[in-house]
Amino acid sequence: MVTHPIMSWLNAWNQLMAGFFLLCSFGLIAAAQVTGCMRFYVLQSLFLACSAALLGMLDNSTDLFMVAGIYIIAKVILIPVLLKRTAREAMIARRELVQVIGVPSSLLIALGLTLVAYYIALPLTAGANSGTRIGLPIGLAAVFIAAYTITVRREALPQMLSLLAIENGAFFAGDAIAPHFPLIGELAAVFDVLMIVLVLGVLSTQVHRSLGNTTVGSLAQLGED
Amino acid sequence: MWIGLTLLLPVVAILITALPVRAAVAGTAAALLAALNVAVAATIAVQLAGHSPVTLVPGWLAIDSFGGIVLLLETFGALTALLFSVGYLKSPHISDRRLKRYLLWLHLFLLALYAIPLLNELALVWLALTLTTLFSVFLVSFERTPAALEAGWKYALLTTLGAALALLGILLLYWALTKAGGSDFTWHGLTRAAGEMPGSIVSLAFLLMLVGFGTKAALIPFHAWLPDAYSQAPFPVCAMLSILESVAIPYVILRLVGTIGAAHGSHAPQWLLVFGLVSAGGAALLILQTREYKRLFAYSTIENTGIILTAGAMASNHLKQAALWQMIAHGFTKPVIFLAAGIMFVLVGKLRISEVRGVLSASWVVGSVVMLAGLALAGAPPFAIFLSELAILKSGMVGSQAWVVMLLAAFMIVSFCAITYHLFRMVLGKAPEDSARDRSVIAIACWWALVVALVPVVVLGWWMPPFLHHLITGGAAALGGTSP
Amino acid sequence: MPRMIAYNLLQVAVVLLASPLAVGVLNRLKERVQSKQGSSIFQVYRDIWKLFHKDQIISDQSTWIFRFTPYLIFAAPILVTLLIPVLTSYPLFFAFMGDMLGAGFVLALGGFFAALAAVDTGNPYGAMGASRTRMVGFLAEPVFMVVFFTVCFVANSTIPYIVQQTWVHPKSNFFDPSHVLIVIAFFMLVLAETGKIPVDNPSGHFELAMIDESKSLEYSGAGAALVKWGGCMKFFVLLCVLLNVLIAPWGLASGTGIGDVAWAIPLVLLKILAAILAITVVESSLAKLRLFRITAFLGLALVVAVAAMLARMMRI
Repeated sequence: MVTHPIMSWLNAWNQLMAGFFLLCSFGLIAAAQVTGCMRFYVLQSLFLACSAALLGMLDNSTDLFMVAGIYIIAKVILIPVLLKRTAREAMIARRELVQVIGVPSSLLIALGLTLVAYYIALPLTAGANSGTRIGLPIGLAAVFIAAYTITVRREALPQMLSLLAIENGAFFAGDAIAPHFPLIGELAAVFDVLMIVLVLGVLSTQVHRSLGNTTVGSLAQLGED
Repeated sequence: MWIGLTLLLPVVAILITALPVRAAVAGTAAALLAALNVAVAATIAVQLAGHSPVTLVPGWLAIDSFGGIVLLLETFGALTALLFSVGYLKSPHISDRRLKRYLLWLHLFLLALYAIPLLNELALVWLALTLTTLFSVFLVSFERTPAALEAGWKYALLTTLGAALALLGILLLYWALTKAGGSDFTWHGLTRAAGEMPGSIVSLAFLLMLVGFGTKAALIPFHAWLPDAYSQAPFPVCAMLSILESVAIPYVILRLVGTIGAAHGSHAPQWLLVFGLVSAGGAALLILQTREYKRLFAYSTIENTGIILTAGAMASNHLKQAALWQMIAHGFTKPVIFLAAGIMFVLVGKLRISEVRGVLSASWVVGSVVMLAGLALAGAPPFAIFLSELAILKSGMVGSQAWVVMLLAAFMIVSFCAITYHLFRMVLGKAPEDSARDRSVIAIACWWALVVALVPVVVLGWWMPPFLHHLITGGAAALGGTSP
Repeated sequence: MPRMIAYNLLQVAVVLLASPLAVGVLNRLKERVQSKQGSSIFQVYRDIWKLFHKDQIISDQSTWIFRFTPYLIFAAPILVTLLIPVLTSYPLFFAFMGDMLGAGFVLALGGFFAALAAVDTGNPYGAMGASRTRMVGFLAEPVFMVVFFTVCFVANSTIPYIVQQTWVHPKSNFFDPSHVLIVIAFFMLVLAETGKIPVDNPSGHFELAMIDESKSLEYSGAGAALVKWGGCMKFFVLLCVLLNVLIAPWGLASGTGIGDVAWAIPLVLLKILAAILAITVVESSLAKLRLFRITAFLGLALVVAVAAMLARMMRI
């Protein structure tokens, strides 16, 4: 289907980015410390940006190049800086994170989710180009895995980073299936991500100050008794 | 021009709050601006009823009949909530700075809320919806107690999770749009391309959006955050959250079904029907077993959202009209009940239903106001909700889907009994000796807010203004209603 | 034909002679990173030489397994060397004897006997080390399996000489995600199998914390020398599999001339040096994991391997 040799190189690189992107989702589950989670998130965003740029070359879409630039600025540079400013205390607490379900079982569950995503995407991508066939299942899988990570993580910041990873997954799929998505939509999403970091970062600092830790998973005062 | 004014007024309010003035001044100014905004929304509504479309920037900022209803409800709710906040938060324990921050977040929240019916580009509608969450997080956790922070965290996390899922749905929907050869990602553009869109993609997109926005609207089973957030948030914030959940989000969901329901094999209306019924039924049961009156009213919001979605999902034009009527009736009633409950809380200082007794004997004014508001909410005549629920039952009893309406009727009866049961337990009986404080602790602004909020509830029970009637018929047509 | 046999024996000679050097270089590099002087890169040769000249003491409580195991540990990597491409990118005389699965089994046999021998003497540390090695081993097993399956899936073959060509024909295959992910997974496996940080600390001297080393505590003299040498060769062979089979056949001799093969020796050693540098970076920048976090490490390796397989599935 792809004839030009350059195209096949670009496709291969795009697939590679997809693989690394998915690995970062797994890393977010397995990371033992808050800073580790953060590094995996930043890496994932970097791969997202690379993939956007590669897809931009494949689809001749200048929008996607701008999108890649926006990702780099917002997610790779701004978010770590913002987080370090708003949630410094929770961030530098160097202790091992607790999880509701252990890391190996979580990884296996995440693998299962990847398969589910693959089979959901399979009928939709029939006849689509190779970017879509890779992007949609990987993006869906990243969304599912990140949603699962939110439920097993008990600390505020890892939960928040998984939340942002969902957005990454959505856009990994989005860049592939809708390369001409209005730029205003991408900007809206990035604005939203930054607001999430600001608001939840400040909130987690408040939680940290009032409770001494950020194990929000063990907050169970409220509830219908 | 009017649309611009709607968005401009909250911005002015933000600027006034940012000025170095006292919080009371900023609050009063905000209430005045909110009153002005109600007038603007009413003007827009009257214009829309006269069949003249209101557009500011074609393709970006425009409003139709359905949006007009939503805008009217939002601005009115905002007016009562702001008025009430001025009185409710006037306390020596709350510093001026905190109060101003509260006002600031509330204005930002309102700005995002008003933008929802005005924006046409779907990605921006999504952004506005997400921002309503993020701007209301600090309103929910306003008390800063560990419990309030916990509630705020859960609220923020779960609803943002929902928004992220909805984002994936939006992207998939855009994919379907491009597959149908369209590129105009507005309500209008979607309607035009809907017939050509591939059903399987639309199906997945709609399901993701339904789950995502449903989490924000606390549809059952995605309501985990709701009991906590409502029990911790200040009363006026509860009122505004209710408006968001039972007016703004159903607006988006019903709009979606109205536009993409035409895609072959999308099954969107059926999905919506199931979710609506589960929410209405589940909430009716939750109302039965709840122990806090704030949560009681929160569950009633879910129930009404469920009823609106169910009725709106059905094909009949009459039912769609009745759904809009229900939205209007509930949207006007909800602020009343939360404000009345707020006044009651100031008086008795307790949140649990079992600890509140004999409000009527402690203060007959407060007692009778709570009673009145509660009956209006439960759906007793002669209030607005009674009429709108009756309209749903009447127009749904014909045809093959009558069983749906029968189920809804059962849920309405359960919730009616449950609400009145809890209400009578609180209002009637003998007040404990020490509990009640003097009625004079209730600020005058709170009373004003309540009086203003009561006007439409009482009026709509007797008389429907003609412009509202036009809006409802126009709105139902925009939802793709067909004559039976 | 005799030339093929000669090359095959040359391969064995290279592995025999160069493997202690590889370990010596790795040790030296790690010590330099830690700002130590470090022992000479030839220290491992001296150790082996010294051990061969020492008396061997064998517990009279032990059985034949204890005496037999050093020979097996020494012979297993040599056998594997006959099967895999070390210097040439075409199969040599003995390569017909087994494919990659066969090579894996032979290496596993050596590990199995090492564990048995550790239990055999009755030394408590030996049994502890054996059980820990088995724990790491059975966690690594599924990863090995998935890696092999994925390789078969991608290359339609388990013959190493066919597998190595798939990655570079066409050249864009090199960046195929399944290829890169397999390499990552196998690299993690090499770390676990040869007892490197973050799974085990090879330079630790505290018996209670040892995993790999404690199995051979009871050996002395020639037995100890064989075990040590066998360990070096296993490390070298695994690196060869990683570099030559799973990454790319670059640097291997494709011609049959004596000059081609001779030129391949320095190139292969250079590749090994690059891998050693990578291992040094990993070992110097990570800390040893708690025993019960090793499951997470190998779980991650499994996920990487399965992701490689998924990546392959999605492309089709």
